[in-house]
Amino acid sequence: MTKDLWQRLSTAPNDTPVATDGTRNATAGTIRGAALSMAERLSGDDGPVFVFCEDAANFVVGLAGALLAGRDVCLPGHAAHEYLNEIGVHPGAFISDLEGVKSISVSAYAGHQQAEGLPTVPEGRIGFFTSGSSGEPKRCMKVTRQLAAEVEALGRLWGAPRGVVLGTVSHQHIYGILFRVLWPLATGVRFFSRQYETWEAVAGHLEPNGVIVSSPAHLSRIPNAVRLPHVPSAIFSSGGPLSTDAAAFASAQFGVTPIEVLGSTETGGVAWRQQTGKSVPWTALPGVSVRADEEGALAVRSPFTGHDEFLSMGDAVAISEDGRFTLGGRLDRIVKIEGKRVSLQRVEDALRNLPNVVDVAVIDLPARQGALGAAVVVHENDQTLLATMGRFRYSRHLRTALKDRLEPMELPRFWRFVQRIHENAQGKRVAADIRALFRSAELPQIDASDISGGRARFELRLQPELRWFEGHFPGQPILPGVAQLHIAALLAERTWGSAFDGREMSRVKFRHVMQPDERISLTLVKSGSRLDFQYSREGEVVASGTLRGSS
Amino acid sequence: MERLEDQIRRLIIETLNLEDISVQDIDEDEPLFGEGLGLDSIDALEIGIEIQKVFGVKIDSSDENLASYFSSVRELARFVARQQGPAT
Repeated sequence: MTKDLWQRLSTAPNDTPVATDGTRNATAGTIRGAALSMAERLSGDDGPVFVFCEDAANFVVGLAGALLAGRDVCLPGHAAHEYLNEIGVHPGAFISDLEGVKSISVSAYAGHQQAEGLPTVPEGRIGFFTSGSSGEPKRCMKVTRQLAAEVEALGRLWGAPRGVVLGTVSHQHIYGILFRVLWPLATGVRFFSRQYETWEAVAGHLEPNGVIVSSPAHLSRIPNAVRLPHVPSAIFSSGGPLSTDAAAFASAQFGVTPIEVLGSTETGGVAWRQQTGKSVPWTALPGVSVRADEEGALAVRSPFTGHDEFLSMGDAVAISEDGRFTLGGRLDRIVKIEGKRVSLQRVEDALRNLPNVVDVAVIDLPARQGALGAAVVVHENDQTLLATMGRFRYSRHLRTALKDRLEPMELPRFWRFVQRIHENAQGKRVAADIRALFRSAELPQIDASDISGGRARFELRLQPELRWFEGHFPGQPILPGVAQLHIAALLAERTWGSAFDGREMSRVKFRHVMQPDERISLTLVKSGSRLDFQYSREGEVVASGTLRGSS
Repeated sequence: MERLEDQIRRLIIETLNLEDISVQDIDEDEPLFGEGLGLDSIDALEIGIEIQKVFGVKIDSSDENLASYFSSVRELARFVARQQGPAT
């Protein structure tokens, strides 16, 4: 039983190894000493403390220190500079072991007075960041009691980890912090403080009976040549669905079938299963109740959510009499296209059923009148056909193959052929990432055009997703001058087939700025190798100039 | 003046927002629907609307030869030229 997450750490003798970075141990004594001095440093102030550490032992010091100081803790999902700004991190309340980042530095290993015991670590709040479906970071606050309840449930189900715990996932997220850090910490088992992202690194560190905390992203990409030095006592997977094939492959290669854990940041852990065959049902974690809500979606009530309500998770569920359940597609992936409800899942399933499609992600594109876009991984047998037909005709070929199964509104209109569908570090497909594939890269939307001889006029709409607006400037996007030249040259090339590389230009004047969503007229006049362009808005000249090209 | 056939090819690409294809990639005689360019009925609807708007022609949906007008770029151009009459 682990009523208190911190009791083992608090009572262990000074030289008890708690974590190892592969060469050095962080001991109970050094971690306690570092946590106490961190608490002292933080106690004069209030407001949340952000903790981002590459090393999980340093992370424990930051976490314990902040909680001891009575501060809320927020855990950034990663440490990209812009992202940290976005979520409100500032150096005075940022604990990190990253080099070259302004922060309160932290080390669990050396330079601290060891401390015998810890005072009682008070209840506190911990905030996790998830990416919402639109891609912006969303904060989800938990109290430490919720995490303790979950660690206790892991203990009831699986006891203590049987060997040193090693993770391919980050501890900055709920699954990683629970399985990689808090569970071993609370049960007095050592853990590797570094995240090992390659299977070669995992093989290099795994100890006998070791536990591997991994994800579908890693488990579905195990190199054939990698052999582990020992059979792990358990492999965990969470963050997204693990395919039956990947589970079987991992099982054959490593000698143990991964235990999949279903959950989310909001709900915490929900259920587990070991895919020893097809359609293995899920079993709820101890203390978790599940039911189907009015829409047939899985709803969960558990001590890990912090309240007594059932929380809907969005996946269609079928619960059998013994309480175990299977999941269908996501019910929240319904979008409206021209007033008609379309299930993205259904379109994906239809595509995935085609023999030439290996993987697919379908997304609605609000920037393109809500039409559907499909990112497709084409089977290697069909790559030659794709190359000879060209992307456009091949996409039409796929559309035709779907016609028996889907209604016209459900047929994807825009296609991207990719090597792999992008997943984030937690193995999730983020809608915004998939949508980004369909950002029309360079040209504004053409609402009307009028071409006669060497003169052309285009009515343009500057759609906000034009890549030229990205980062230019953050919060105040304007169309850069170079983009204005580029667009004029590109449209001229498209209209007359001659290139204007812009090596020579004259009389170029940018008089006013152009902003997203504006409607702009562009007039092009070509005479020989000379191209005059003029952008105007409601009769007022916005920019003009002359480019010279090859003919 | 841009050739009518070229205007129509450009109109198809721009109206349908077709990607990964340029004017030169559409053969004037290839079938627009089914095998060939692979356009479908919704595409036809959108092209029809745009053709009427841009060229100021009328498309009579009860005309039984309608399908043949839309069979290729060349046929569409003929149709538009005929509708516009000798005055233009």
